[in-house]
Amino acid sequence: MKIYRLKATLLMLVMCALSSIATSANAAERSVSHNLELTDPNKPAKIDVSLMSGKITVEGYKGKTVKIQATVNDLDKVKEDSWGVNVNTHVNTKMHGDAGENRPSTKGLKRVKKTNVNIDIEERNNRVSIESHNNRDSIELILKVPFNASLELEVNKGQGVSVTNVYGEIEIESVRGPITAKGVRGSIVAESSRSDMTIVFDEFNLEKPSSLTVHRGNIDVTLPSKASALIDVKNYDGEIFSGIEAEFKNVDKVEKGKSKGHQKITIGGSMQANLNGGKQKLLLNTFRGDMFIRSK
Amino acid sequence: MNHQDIISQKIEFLNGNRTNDLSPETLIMVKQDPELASEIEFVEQLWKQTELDRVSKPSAQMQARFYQMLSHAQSAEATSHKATESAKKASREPLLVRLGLFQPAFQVLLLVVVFGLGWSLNSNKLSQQTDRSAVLENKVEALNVMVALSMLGKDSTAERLAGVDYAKNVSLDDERLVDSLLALLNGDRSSAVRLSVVDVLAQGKQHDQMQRKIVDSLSKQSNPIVQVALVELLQNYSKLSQQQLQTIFSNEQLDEEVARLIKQNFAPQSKTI
Amino acid sequence: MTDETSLMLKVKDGQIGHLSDLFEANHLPLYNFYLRSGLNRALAEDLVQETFMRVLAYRSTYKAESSFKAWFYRIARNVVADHFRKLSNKEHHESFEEQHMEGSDSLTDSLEQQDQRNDFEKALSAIPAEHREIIILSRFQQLNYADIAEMLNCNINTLKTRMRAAISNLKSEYRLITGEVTP
Repeated sequence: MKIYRLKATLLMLVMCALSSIATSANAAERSVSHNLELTDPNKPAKIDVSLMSGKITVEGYKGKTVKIQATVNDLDKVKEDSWGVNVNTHVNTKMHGDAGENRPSTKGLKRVKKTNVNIDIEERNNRVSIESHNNRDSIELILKVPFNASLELEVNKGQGVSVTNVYGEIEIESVRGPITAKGVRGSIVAESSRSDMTIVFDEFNLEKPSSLTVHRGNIDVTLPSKASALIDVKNYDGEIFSGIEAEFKNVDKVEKGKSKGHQKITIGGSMQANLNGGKQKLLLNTFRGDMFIRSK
Repeated sequence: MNHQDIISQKIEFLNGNRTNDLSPETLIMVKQDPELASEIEFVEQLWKQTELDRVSKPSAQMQARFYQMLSHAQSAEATSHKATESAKKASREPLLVRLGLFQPAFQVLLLVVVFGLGWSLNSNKLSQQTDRSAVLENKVEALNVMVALSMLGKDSTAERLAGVDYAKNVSLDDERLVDSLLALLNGDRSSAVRLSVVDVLAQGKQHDQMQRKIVDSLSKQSNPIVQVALVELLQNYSKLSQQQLQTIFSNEQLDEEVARLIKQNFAPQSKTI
Repeated sequence: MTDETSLMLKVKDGQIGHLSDLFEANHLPLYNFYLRSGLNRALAEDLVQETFMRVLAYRSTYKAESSFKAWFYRIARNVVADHFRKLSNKEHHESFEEQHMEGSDSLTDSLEQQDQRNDFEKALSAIPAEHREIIILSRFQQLNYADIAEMLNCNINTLKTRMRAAISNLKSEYRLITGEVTP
């Protein structure tokens, strides 16, 4: 078993001295790359990423290592969050300790820009874990992983998650940013709170169910025409558009009122379509948003 | 004795199908033939390689499937046996008619005798079959619960989803299963898993205790999709009390639309909650 | 009469509940037989189920003078042959190497033991299917010559010849793999 930990701590001076590493002129961006070897390159890898803020991009490739590129963007600059609201995080300096007249003097002092960033990268028996719980920085993480890797990706805020051509089991949670996954062949469980989700299956995996959930946003899913899927849709407020060769039927009936005076109201309910024998379930859930179910 | 006989004797001995190993005379023959000696040595090496005997275990589902199949086969057998008996009984009547014994009283007596004989001859067999069938059914059910519980505890969300789906085919009489499902409903990181649990609970028996648990869950859910699903589920139960409604509305994360629906469905007369 | 023979006769007689005793005694060796035949775990489980369903379906054909094991494994062989006839091998076949690389229960074995086991397994996967089959039936399923001959519908002398050829073949492959001889 091989266990090691890499903590990347970068100083501004080091970044300027090392010309091979790309930095922006105002040093608001810091970047690090690493090629991670697996304990057993012949076995599938399991990649676990957890970020507070940023964007995760994962691409499957032919190699046997995990290539990591992490770029950290300072949240000192003004930027828009996904709701289009300008957020200026450092307009007013926040002083710890007493405020007001008891605040120590800063006369003659220069503000030291904090440039350290903590990203924990750990590999143990083919399980790769990449974590950053830093609230201040937005981290853009670009990974290249072997095709048959499994992924568990989580990001709280920022620009969401994008996955291409990864064939193992995929689990994605993005609280605020959009989710895109293309070239999917394994089962996928993805959930987003406030943004759209676009999923394109190259193959629909029959071993385990797949599920796409968006609280407020649209789901756009494409299935191969020969996929054998039992598509179960729960959509409270939104429309469903389907281009598949299977009819959607209502399966939930709202119960009648059991006592006099009890109103009977249809709430959402679920609809189901049996595509090519429906050998495995695909669950699509939205509270408020439309669904687009396509065939290719 | 030729080489293949010697090798077969060796193999039968190693497999425990033969008491004695190769005789001294045979061993001399082996020693004199290097190729044969090498083959015998190889056979011994292969058979004694105990690491090769490492056995892979199948999933618990394989057993559950077998017992389910057997249980169905037993039921089908019992039904077909009854049908055969009825057919046999029906075929006796024409014979009796031909023998000129068709008289109402005698016929009734004969029927009683036939039934009595048939019943006593077959009750043992049938009751054994029925007992065995019931035991098997219980065994199947217990295995199914075990499989479901194991799947519900998996790390992978897709596996937990598959586990909740599996639980749809299992009776919800088992407390451990219901507790596990409720734990997922209240604590699973995936809304998809929670929604699937709501579907399973919708199939279960509706009683006050379950209603209380659903109300409790609704008071803690932050996800509006799950909130709506639980509201739907509550429609299967009796009216909500004022206290239960207050518990639900104490949820600060209750979506406005869901709150409106609850008021519409469960408190039509209430003006303020 | 063996226990299994008498159990099977009871099943034939209609006491099909006794099939559970036969299942308990045979499902694990049968599952491993399918794994060694090159199937993946999910498929091996499916075929175990199929085999017992056929045992139930064909119970009336079982004869008291027949060895239960021979009859049972004949059904098992037909099940796997039917499967390969229907589908291509590519999707569902796992080599011995791939199967035994899964799972981490070899941690307690010494490296040398693991190497030796892997070499045997590699050699087994390299010999012709009909040779591999009789070695699996004899070495792993521990069937005797009479049962195997009955299963394969050949006489014992023919089987002895085939077994010798199979052993010789396996030995050659093993020596190539371990480097004792060069090609």
